Amino acid sequence: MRVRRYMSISVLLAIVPVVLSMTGCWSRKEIEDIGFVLSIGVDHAAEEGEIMITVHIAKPFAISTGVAGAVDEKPFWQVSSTGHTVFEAWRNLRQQSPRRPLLHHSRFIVFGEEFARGGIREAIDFFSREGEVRETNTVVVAKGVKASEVVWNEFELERMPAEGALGIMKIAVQELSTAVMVTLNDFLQILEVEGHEAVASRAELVRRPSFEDPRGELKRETISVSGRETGAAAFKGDKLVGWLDKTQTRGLQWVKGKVRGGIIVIEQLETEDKLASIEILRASSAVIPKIVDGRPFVLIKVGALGNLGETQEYFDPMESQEIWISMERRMAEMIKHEIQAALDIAKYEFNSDIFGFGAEIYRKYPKEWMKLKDRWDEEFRKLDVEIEVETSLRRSGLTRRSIQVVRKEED
Amino acid sequence: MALGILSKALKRLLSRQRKDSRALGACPSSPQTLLSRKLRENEAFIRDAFGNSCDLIIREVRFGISPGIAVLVVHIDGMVDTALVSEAIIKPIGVTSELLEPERLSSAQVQDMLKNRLILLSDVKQVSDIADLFHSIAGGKCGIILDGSSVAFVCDVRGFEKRSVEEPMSEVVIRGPREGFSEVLRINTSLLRRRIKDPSFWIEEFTVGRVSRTQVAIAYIKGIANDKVVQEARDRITRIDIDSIQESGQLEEYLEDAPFSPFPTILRTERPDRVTGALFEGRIAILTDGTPFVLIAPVTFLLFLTSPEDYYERFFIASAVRLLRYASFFIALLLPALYVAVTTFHQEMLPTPLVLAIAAQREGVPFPAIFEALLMELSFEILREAAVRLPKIYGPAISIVGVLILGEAAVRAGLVSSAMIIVVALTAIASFVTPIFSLSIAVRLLRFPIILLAGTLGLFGVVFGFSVVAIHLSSLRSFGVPFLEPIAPVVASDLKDTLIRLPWWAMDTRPEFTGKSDLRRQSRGLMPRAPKPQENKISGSPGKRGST
Repeated sequence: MRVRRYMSISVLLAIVPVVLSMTGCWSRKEIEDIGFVLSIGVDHAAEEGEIMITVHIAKPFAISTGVAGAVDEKPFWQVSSTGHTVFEAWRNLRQQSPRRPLLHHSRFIVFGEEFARGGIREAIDFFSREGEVRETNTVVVAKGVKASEVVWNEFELERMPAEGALGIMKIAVQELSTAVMVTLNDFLQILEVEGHEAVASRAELVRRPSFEDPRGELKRETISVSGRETGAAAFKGDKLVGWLDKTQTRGLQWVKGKVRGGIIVIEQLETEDKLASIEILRASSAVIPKIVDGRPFVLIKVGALGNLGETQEYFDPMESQEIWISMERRMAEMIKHEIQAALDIAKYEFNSDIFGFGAEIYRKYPKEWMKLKDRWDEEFRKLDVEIEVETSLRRSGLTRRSIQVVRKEED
Repeated sequence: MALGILSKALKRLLSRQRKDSRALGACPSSPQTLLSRKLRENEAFIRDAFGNSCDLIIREVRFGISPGIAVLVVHIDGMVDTALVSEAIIKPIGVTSELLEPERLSSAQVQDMLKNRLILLSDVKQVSDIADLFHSIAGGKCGIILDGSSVAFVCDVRGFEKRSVEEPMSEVVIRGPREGFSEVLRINTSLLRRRIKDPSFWIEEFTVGRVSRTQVAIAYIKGIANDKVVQEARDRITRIDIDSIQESGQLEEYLEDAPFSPFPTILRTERPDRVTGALFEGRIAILTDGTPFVLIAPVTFLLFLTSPEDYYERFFIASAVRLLRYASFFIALLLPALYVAVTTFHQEMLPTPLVLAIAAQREGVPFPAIFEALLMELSFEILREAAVRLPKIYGPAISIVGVLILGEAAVRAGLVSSAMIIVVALTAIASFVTPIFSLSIAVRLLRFPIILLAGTLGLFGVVFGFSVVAIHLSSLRSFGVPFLEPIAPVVASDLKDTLIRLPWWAMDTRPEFTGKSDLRRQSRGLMPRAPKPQENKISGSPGKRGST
């Protein structure tokens, strides 16, 4: 009895360290042996039928964290590899990278325009299956160029291209509402929804005019090619069908209730060409589908709160309330105009329901939708949309009346 | 589970060795147990027993008109107050009794005269057992032996050099009494007695150690402390059969419920206020002569993370500090392991800028993170141990060499990443936040296996290691009280004094497990309030005052 007990204890004591060491530190990877991919681009390869992916990988040793002499080097490396599928291309990347590329920290999935026009179906599955890919990646389409050129667009003030792009995009979404940020998760979900077409972020190259610094002091190479991350890319199914500009994008965001901020410039007075800027404080929207005599009809209700941020002419709202009200009205007109612009291009140029009106109808009138869905393209083009905008100017900044410039007597 | 099996195996191994080791001590080389009537024989016994030790003093005094009766005053030099001996014993016997004729008195009368009239001391005991006499003399008392009588007197004239009551070294508070226990049992009991002026504060004394004859006392408040716990403590103390007890830590190992646990289940403290606080919660204190560390039992885990100051400081602040202390406990136990696990297995868990910053620092470090962590933890432990043991004058030198040169140079040389230095330093500081040292050592020890688990199994290993610790903790008991009470098992009424401390006027009851015998501590509704308006005697504008 006792012998057996000692046996079992000694066996246990022997097994524990062996088991721990036998795992060989399974799936262990030291942090310095990893290449952190910050964004990944997908294009067609030069070879017919092959896919090329381009990644930009962070070079930790070139980030200045007290290591002297590392500042001059660019803190990233862009590299491409090809394969028959995205996964194969991704794995082939390891032939070139001495450090194991890891997708966990990737921020962007970029598709080249040419690739996106041909349909992204064959690439998207990898990103939904692979465990390393986060669903918070932003889906981007590169306008006019290959993804490989956009992936490593550099920006001032941020050393990492992905960080820079992210900063610009976030600010555009929050302060201007002229860009969309579509996460991989949202993008994949919308692809599967009936009556709702996807949009993605739009990125393009911007060539900066070459700039000679007369002082000659700037150590770093000035960035000559940078990126612009405004607007949106509209899809139909898995294919890119066109581009939304700033105005159209904000129109889309108004409908989706995603306007977070921005400036609306209106005429201050109806007669004069003096302008006033209104800062958007808050916005809300409701899309109300209706079936009238068997025909679909959509009512868009948008509400917006504004702050009078600037006037070019003297104005005191306490004196002339009519002007204040007319400003609210003109603000509503501008919003309506932006929405209309988005509606027009979606209906007549793309014929793609990027607003998700179909999905709204499906949700409210599922039976009627069954009849509509096969000819939704056509119905969408003919769809009557009524836009109701309610605006309210709530604040006027720090002052009530504008600065009154006293006219000095002229000689 | 592994811990349990291990401990059982060790128990078996150790219990085997406990064959009766031959008794030493008691009464060496004395064939007799009772005193002889002949003074010279007794003197010879004493000289023989003490082996002519140089500090043994035997003074012969004569009692009554010459020749009178010879009286031996025996004591150990240095252990008694010699002035007191001469004033209260030698002088009355030798001088005051000059005119007596003791030959006329019977032996009983002489004894009575000595004990009740002549010896001017409060504590005089009559002994007839020779061993008792020897132990008393060795313990610093003064023995008085009469010729022609088989009894002796033992009186307490103890007076020896001792450290005065000083501020405790290991438990420092900003607000609260500055007194700490000292090495002398009597001083320590008096420190407690001064704080509890009630006859229900009982102190029972035991002698532990056959040779060292160390006094050990159990102190408790009768009526609040659980009688069963007191009885259990008595049993556990009387069970001990050893030649000497040096310190209460030694005693602790005999009294503990879980001898193989890395965690202490008896709390030791240097602070009298902590002890009395515990006594009022129905706990008992065990004081040991020769050490300022007093044991408190039964205790719970959370008690190790409290400081007496929590009860003196305003309760918001005390609660916040407690939360900080709990956080530090987890940092001290888990932070290096989490760092190792995250940087070698779960890089996706860190924000990108942080992961890149860590990667940049690890650039060129030749060791894997786990080895780096073990190396740094080990060198910190070496530094700490050196700093504790070194003479104080070397302190600054050690901190310069160890911290500045070693740390800085290791990072400069690229042997260690600075992130790791930060982690190790934070862990070290967090481990010092634990108010009771014995818990913080346990945490420091457990850190190493958890780092190993983190390095081999990642976060899974950390969770596994932590679970083992948590399961082990919840299986512990201290004198019958679940160690994780009131969290496991949940005792709702005791939660008032755990993660947060409620204000004093809201803590109406004693802890459920220890204070069962007399649960209610104070009357209800003691929250201070503004006086009601009608009670307000000040005449004047009553209308305005009514609004409160």
